[in-house]
Amino acid sequence: MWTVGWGLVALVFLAGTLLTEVLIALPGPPRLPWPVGAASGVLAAVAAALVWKLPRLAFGAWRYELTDSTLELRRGLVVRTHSAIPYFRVQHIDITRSPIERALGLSQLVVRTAAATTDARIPGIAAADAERLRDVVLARSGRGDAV
Amino acid sequence: MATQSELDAPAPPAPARAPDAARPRRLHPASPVLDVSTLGRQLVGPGVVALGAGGAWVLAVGVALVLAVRVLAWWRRTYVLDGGVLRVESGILVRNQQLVPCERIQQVNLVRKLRHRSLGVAVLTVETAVGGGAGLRLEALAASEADRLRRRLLAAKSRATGTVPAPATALAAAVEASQPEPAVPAEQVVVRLTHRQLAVAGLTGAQLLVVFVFAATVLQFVDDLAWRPLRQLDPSALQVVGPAFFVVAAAGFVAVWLGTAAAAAIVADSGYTLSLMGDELHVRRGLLDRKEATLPLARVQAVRVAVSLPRRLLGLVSVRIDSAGGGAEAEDSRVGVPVLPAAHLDRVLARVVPGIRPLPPLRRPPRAALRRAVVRRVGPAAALAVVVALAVPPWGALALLAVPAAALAGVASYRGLGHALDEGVLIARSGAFIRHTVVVPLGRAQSGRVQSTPLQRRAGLATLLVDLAGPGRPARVVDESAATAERLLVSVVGSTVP
Repeated sequence: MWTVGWGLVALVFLAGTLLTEVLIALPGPPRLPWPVGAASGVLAAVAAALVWKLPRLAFGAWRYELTDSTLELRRGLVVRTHSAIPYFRVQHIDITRSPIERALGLSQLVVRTAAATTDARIPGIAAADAERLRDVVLARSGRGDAV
Repeated sequence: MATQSELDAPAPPAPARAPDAARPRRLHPASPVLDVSTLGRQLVGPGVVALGAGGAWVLAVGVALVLAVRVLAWWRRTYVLDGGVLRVESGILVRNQQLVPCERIQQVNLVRKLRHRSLGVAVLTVETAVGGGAGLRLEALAASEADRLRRRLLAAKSRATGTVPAPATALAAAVEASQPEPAVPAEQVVVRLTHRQLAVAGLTGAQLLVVFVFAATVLQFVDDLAWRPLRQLDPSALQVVGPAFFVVAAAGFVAVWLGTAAAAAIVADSGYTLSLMGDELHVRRGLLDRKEATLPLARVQAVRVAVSLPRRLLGLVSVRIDSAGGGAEAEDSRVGVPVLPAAHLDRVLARVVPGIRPLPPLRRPPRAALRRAVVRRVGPAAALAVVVALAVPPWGALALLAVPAAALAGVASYRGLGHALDEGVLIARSGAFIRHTVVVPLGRAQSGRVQSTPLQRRAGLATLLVDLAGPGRPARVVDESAATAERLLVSVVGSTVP
């Protein structure tokens, strides 16, 4: 059993993304009667609170875990998902890094099996952790045709 | 692996074929013009230029050029089965070499469309699990050569995966290689369908809808051609024909419709035979276009059984057998039974999934799932109905009828749900009007997940998805209690043995 969380920086990344989205959705109060301005102000405050709170909740809901025979992922605030991928089914593992992720020293790990529908991506893990995790999973995946 | 009958048979005619087997071969000389879709695409360019330049000889030169390139490509394209690897070399300027190790083969198909049959050739496709099953396509081979290559590929595959022991000594290997082709195991027919059964399949299946598409096209065409003269027609002329005419016309339309649907099914699947040859499943079908698919039993990923409402009343089911090969839309390589009496299902399953027992009764999800199924459908239906009722005052109120209809659909969907975990297989059923049952051998599950929406969590429910190799959709156990779903997940991914 080896449970690891994200790095704290993941919050900054998520918060940044959400904030941009909210700003796009809320064009400020340009010359509108005060009730509208006040309402939009309240909305903006609520949005800001959500921007502050949601990534923390989403972050808190994310767990990945290496058990004896499977890689298990638990995630999701609204739709909660618990995935389990047996190591020996793993065909290959991708590590991707977007510009924002690079700036924050993070990586995204994508584990693939022979099934096109397997959904196993772990976003926002520290770059060094991602490579270590990849090596561990690959070492446990063994050899042979798992189709 | 020589059988007794083979030992009795006269000696192989020409031992000199052994070196011949490892020599690269070309496809059939008619190949450059047989791949009509590619040829058509390549002829678009010269066609457009000829239209622009407006000269018949420009077109002739263009066509000659395209054909010359295609003949050159055919000249360059060779295949050889050598040491358990199928190697295809091609390319005029950029040389290309494709290698398929035989142990990776998922499925081998032979297709003979009408144009191939008239020339005595066949298209051979080899499917692997790579990239959603996009495989290797050899268009076209002489029919006898296609058959021989298929047998050799499958024999090499069985040897490579250890289903059949490899020749023990170099001498034994040489003897085996010197035989013109591997021994053909006896064929055991599992299902054979008559034209009458196929007609029933057509009358209860998707072919009914195909006719609508066809009719829509025809109507569009007729509309373009004949609508204007029709509009100028004197309306009083219609009174002469009277209502009897419309009844006869409607009856005629229905007769043609049903006849077309039945005929379409017969043309697609005439002579349908599902058989076992050794450890391979074999499907042969088709009246005009002959299609053959061969799927090693060890490659069966899941068996999907579909039952529509009319078929349920007639006691019929249809079956699809999934391998990891084949694109989701690869109609030619479909392995399945278009229609089957439900009573025969267990017998067929026993042949396709070795070790499976007759399907047990399925376990219904908890009562909370009934409420979930109804609310899930009534919610959106009610919202939409209210909007329509308010927007279109007098007649829009009729939309409210959608609400009880949605409730009924919800009840039907709940009654369609069920699952069972039995002797190494997971069986999951869902669907309101068409019930889909998926039978997954547990050793085939690639990965699994349990998902729950907020409303499901409030009811203590969750949905289990089991991912399968290849392009197929995951198997789903919908709205089971959260604890059961988690327990199933553990047995599905935990019991898989390397």
